[in-house]
Order: sequence, then structure tokens, then C-alpha cells
Amino acid sequence: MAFDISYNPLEPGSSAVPLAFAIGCLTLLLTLALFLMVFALRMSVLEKKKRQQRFIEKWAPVWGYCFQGELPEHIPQLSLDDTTPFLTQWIQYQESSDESMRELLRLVALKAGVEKHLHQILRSRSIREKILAITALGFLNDHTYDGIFRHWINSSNVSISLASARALLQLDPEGSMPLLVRLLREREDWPPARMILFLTEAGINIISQPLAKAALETPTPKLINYLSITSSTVAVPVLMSILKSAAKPDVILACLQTLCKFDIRTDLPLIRRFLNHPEWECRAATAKILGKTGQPQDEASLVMLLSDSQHIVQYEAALALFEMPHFNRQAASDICERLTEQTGLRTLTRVMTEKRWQS
Amino acid sequence: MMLFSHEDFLSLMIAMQWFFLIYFIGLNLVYIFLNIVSFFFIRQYTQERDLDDVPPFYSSFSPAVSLLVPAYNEEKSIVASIYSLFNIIYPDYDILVINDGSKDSTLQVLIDEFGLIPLPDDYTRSLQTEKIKMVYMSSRYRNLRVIDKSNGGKSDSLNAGITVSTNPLVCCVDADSILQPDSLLRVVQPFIENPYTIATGGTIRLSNGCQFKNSFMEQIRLPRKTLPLIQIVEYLRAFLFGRLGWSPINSLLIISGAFSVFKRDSLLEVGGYRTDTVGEDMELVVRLHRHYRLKGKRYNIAVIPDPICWTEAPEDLKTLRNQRVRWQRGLLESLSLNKELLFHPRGGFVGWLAFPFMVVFEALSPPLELLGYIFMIWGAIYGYINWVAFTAFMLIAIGMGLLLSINALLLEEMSFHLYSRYTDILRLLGAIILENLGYRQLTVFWRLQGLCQWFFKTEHRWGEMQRAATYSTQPDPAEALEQVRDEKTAMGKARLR
Repeated sequence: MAFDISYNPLEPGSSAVPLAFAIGCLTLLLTLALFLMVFALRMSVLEKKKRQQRFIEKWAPVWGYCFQGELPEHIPQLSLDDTTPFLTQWIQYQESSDESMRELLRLVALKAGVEKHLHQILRSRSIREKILAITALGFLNDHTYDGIFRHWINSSNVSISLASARALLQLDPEGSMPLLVRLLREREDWPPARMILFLTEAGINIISQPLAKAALETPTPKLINYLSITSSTVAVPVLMSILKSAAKPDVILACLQTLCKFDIRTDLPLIRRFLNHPEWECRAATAKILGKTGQPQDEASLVMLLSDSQHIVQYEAALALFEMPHFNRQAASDICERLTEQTGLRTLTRVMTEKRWQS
Repeated sequence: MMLFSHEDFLSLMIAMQWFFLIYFIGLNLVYIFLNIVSFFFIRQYTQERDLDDVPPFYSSFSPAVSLLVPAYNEEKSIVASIYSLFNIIYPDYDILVINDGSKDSTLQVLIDEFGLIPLPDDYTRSLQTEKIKMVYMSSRYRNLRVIDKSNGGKSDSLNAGITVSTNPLVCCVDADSILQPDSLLRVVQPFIENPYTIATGGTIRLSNGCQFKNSFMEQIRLPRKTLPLIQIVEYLRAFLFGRLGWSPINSLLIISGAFSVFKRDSLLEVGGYRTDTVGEDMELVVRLHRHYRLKGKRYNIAVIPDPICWTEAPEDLKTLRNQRVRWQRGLLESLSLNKELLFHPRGGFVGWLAFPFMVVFEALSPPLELLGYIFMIWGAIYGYINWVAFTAFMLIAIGMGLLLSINALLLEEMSFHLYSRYTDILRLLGAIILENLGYRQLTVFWRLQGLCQWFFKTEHRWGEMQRAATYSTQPDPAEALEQVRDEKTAMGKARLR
């Protein structure tokens, strides 16, 4: 039916008027319903708080024993209602504990009968509960659901896929690395910071080789950044090898920034090549590396960078000079006397002042 | 000779009815869309937030941040503000206070309180600002620096701070904002999770009625006065669906200047804040969108729902009027200065949805809304619109207003439930009803004034903000620091709990 502009929507008898009334009444009814929902939510929040309080009172003595390194004699049996608050607290303790405490917590969970509820929570429609269950199974070292986790790691829900990745890394670190490395390449939604945390938990010996191999095969900044958590004996040669042939500034920068985290003793001529790189971030990172390596012959290059067109490069160069083991206030004063370039001079003086007050 | 016949006039009336109906339907459809998006966003966010106890998770990956605090004639409150910023829990941050040519003794108060010593002027003028006279560093707190510069306004001060900062992220904070201890950790989270993030903001809440002690929030309460109470409802609506709805589709055009974090390089790339607009915070965000969209560069601008920053709302009509006139003018300036983004082939959601929405339903809404009111009442009185239809239309208009506001309250209850008493809910409901009966119409009128000011390019005056907050008084520094330590210990314990 064609749209008729001559039709008056607000005239008496127009079909739009009863419709408008109906919609108006509906909005008022919805408003009332939402208001009641607000009240209901508030009641449930208060009820939840009360339940939490009861839970805390019941479980505080148990955690108290654990913190003292003892397994309590009496451990209450978990009800399904208490399982979610229990897991929330238990996972927090797991994350902030050392290995012996983790084992103690594991025993507490098993004695409390958490396993019999986990299956049900794992099937829950609530994402939060599902994630709690996946994480708990990882900490409990329970292999029952490995297959499901391998499936869920591909989930479009980033939280579920991350929780599954972490659980797999805990359950089978070596076996899960190939799958993880593939997904590290493919998934754009995995936050690198979080993955770095999970990979670090898995252990440097397990992750170093697979990550290095992946970075060498696909030298993207994302994969290169992961090398910062691998062992230097594995990472440095790989980074140097990528640097030798890299042309893209973001790849070079990722390599240099990752190298900043390691102690480098070899291949310094290769690093020095980037002192004149057109991208200022590369020059700043190079200054940082050279400051850490502390070779006296690099002092002149760093002094040159004090006159760089970018302020942050100047600042990094001044900081790098102070990083050098032989460098002291006298050396800085000598450089100040020689320097003719004003901004470089001011940067060095500023860092001198900062260092003086910070010490 | 008559220009219009009666038939022409009737046709015009009908056309106008259609226009207002379509406008009204369009506006509410977008609001419903935003509500749905923010509902799912908040639901997912709160579920994940319960699991992600942010501090232990992210502390080792947090980039360094410079907090930029512009100060103009703040001798009475600046020390309190800075002590409150020491309260922030974040692994690597410094505070840059920018004294914008204060006429009172703001600088001297800072020198005395924090033992400031001059630093050699070593920065490159990466942004044009008024003359920077001196940069000081504190001999007592290693992460505090003060920039003393000639007066140039808030934007100019922020540009000076961006210039002097050497950290990858800068956080712009109003001197009178009260932050939560974990504000920075939360607002920086999108930068850690998504490397393409260039700007983030948090949810701003109103501090009127709340109780503070030595710059720290002690108790969250609703204000007794009606005017700030209604503004609380407005803020709930604006932040919990107005902004959260746009954020997941990367179309957020406003990040409040009271608390926002930016990638410093991105700010330098677009030339920092403009000093010739009153809505500098919005203009910057729109310009960032324009720059990155038109260059085809990948980026992300996000807002987090956590209530992390508290600010005071006007409690008198004069201040409120000034604020609303300024906001409307700022909105129009922000949009007109970046009009290239509108329906640009590379504009994406922001150019094809958020920007047109802002133009049609925010920037141009005051005259249209006012015209709508006049037209409907006039039409009903003179019989062009029948009273039954008029009543039905008003029923929907008021019903939708109530529904959207109550939904914002529901989103708040789903996520943060800050106002803990049943009476709070009832009082907020009262404010929701009252808002539709006069307040909304008054703000339409003020916004229309803002539009006229923009159109005629009238010189803008900021006006004095009448503050009622209790936190703007000088604290006892020792007590304040003691409280900082207590809060930090408490948070540390909470994490281990």
C-alpha cells in the first residue's frame, strides 16, 4: 500500500488514534512493570547480601585454617546454592596463593563436595557460572571435561574461550600449546595482556619454544610481543633473526621493545643500526636497549640522541645514559658543558634533577 | 490575494503532523535500540566484572599515565584535590597540575604544601599553548609536577599538560572531581585489552548529597533538593544507555571532560584540544573519530559503565541554565567543526548513525521540540488536532519519557545499585515523574538559547558555579594521607580476602 501524505493521522476516527492510545497505555504499563522489577532486584540484592553474610560466617573458619597452612577437621558440605559464592571466593584465593596453599585449597574443595555440583554449573545458562566452573575445573586439575574445553576455546564468547584456554593450559600445558598458538594467531578478540598472564602461569619452559616458532613463522607485532615472557636464550636469537630481515616499522618496533626486556650481549651492531631509524619510537627503544647493555662506546650515540627532533627520544636517551654503569653526575656535567644544543642540554639537566631528588 | 487557500493550510497541518510523528517515532526507535544494546552490554560487563578482580589481573601490564589537572584560582581546594589523587591505586602514574595563570595564590599554596622545585624547561612544544613559565617537581612526592603557565583556559592548560607529559596515556581530570581509588585501573582496562584503543571514559555520577571526608567518598546518598535529584536521573539516563549504547558499536561521540583517558600520541596527531570551543571535550572525541575514520585507521573509543568519578551538579537554576546553554553550544560547535564526518563513505556507524542522530535528535531538537509543543497545543485548541488524538499523543510522549528513565534506573539496579535504600528508589521515581512536568520543557528552552548563541556566535561567558560540596575545603594533610594509606591497605586486604 502506498504511503498517503494527505491522510490525517490525528483526525477523529483515524486508526492511528486508538493505536496511539494502546501504545501509550503499554508504555505506562511497561513503566510500572520495570519499576516493580527495580524493587524486586533490590530485594534480591538484599537477600543475596544476607546469604553472602551467612556463607562468610560458615566458611570463614575454614579459610582461616587454610591461611595457617592447615587442613580443617570439619569442612561443611556445599549446597548447590552456596557453590557459586564458594567458587568465587575459592578462585580468588587460588589466584593469590602459592603452590602449597593451592593444594590445600584443592583438598578443601574436594572434601566439601564441589565436584558433584560442577557438572550442573558447567551446563548453566549463566555465562558467569559457566566461567566459574571452567576455571575451578582447571584449578582442580580435573580432566573430565577436556574435550568440552577444546570445543569451547573456539567459542565466540571471548570470556568462555579465555576461561577454556586457561583451563587447558592448566590441565595439559604441553598438549594444548599447538592449539593455543594457532588461536593466538587467529583470534583478534583475545586480550594479549590476559593471555600473557595465562601463558606465564603455564611455565616459561613450556611456552618458549612454541611461541618462538610461531613468531619466526609469522613475524607479526602481536606474536613478537609474546616473546617478552619467554626465556631470553630462546627469544633473543629469534628477535635478532626477525630484525635482520624486517622492513615494516611496526615489526621492528615490536622486536626492539621486546628486546628492551632482555639483557643483550651479542648482536649489538645490529641494534645500533636503528639509532637512525626514521620512526622515533624505534630510536627511543634502541636508546633504552643501549642504556641497559651499558657499553661505553654507545655513550656518544646516546649523546647524539639528546639532540633528536622528538622529545621522548631525547628523554629516553638521557635516561639511558644514567642507566650506564660507568655514568655518574660528573660525567653528566661534562656532557652538559660540551653540549651546544639547548633542548638536549635541558633534557639532560632535567633528568639529572629528577635523579637527584629521586635518590 | 491570499497566499494560502484553506486546503493548502490543512495540507500543511497534516504534513506537520506527519513530520512530528515521524520525528518522534525515529527518536524513540533509536532510544530503544540504545537501551537494548546497553542492556546486553551491562549484563555481560557485570558478569565478567565479578570474575575479573581488576587490580591483580592487570597491574603488571598497565601503561604509565599522566593525570592532567588544570587549576585556575583554586587556592582553597587544590591541595585537597591533589591529596585525593594520591588515593588512586595504580602501578605507574604521575600527577601534572597545570596552574593556568591563577590570580590568587594557587601556585604558592602548591609550592608550600608540596615543596616544589623548578625543573629545567626541556620539553618540545608539540602543541601550541600560552607561555609555559616554569615546570616544577615536588621534592616530597616523586610523582607530582606542576606547570605554571599564562592564562589560556582549560583546553590550553590540558594542551600544556599533554606537551609536558612523557607517558603514553594522559588522563584529564577536573580539579573538583572525586575519583574512586580504582578509577584509573578500570578506565585503563580497555587500553590493555584492545591495543587500538585511543580514548576511554568512565561513568560520571553526581556527588550532591553524598558525604565526604578529606576528599574521600564516605557515604553515597541522594540530595535533598529536587533540582540535583532530577539531574541524577538525567545522568543515569545519559551514561547508562546514552553512552553505553553507542560504545559497543564504536560510535561514542562524548567522553566527559571530568574524567577521560587518551593515548597521548593520538592527541598529538590531531593537534590536542581546540581552544576556541566551549565543548572542548566532545569536540576532541568527534575529531578523533573523524581523523581515524577518514584516514581508514583502526581505532577504538570506549566507555566503561563503572561509576568511577563523582562531580557536583548545579543546585540553582542560574548555574544550571549556564551549564545547559554551554553544553548545547558545545554540542553544535563539535558537530559543525567536524561535519565532514557526516555521511562520509568511510564514516561507518559513527558517520551514518551516531553523528546524524546527534544532529537531528540532539542539536536540532530544542526548536523542533518547542515547535512540537506549540503546534500540538495550538492545533488542539483550534480544532486542527482532535483532543482525543492530542491526549493519546501526550500519553505516548510522557509514557516514553517515563519508560526510558525507569529503564535507566533498572540498568543501575542491575549493575551497581549505589542508592541502597528503598526510599532512594521511591525518591528517584518521584524525580522521574517531576522531570516530565516542567523541568524538561525548561531545559529545552535553555538549549534553544545555546543553539541561538552558536548560530549568532555570541561571546560565551562561563559564569560562576555555586558549589555546595563539603569536599572543597582544605583537609588536614596528615589525616588525608593517613586515610589514603588506610584505603590502600583496605583494598589490598579486599583483594586477598
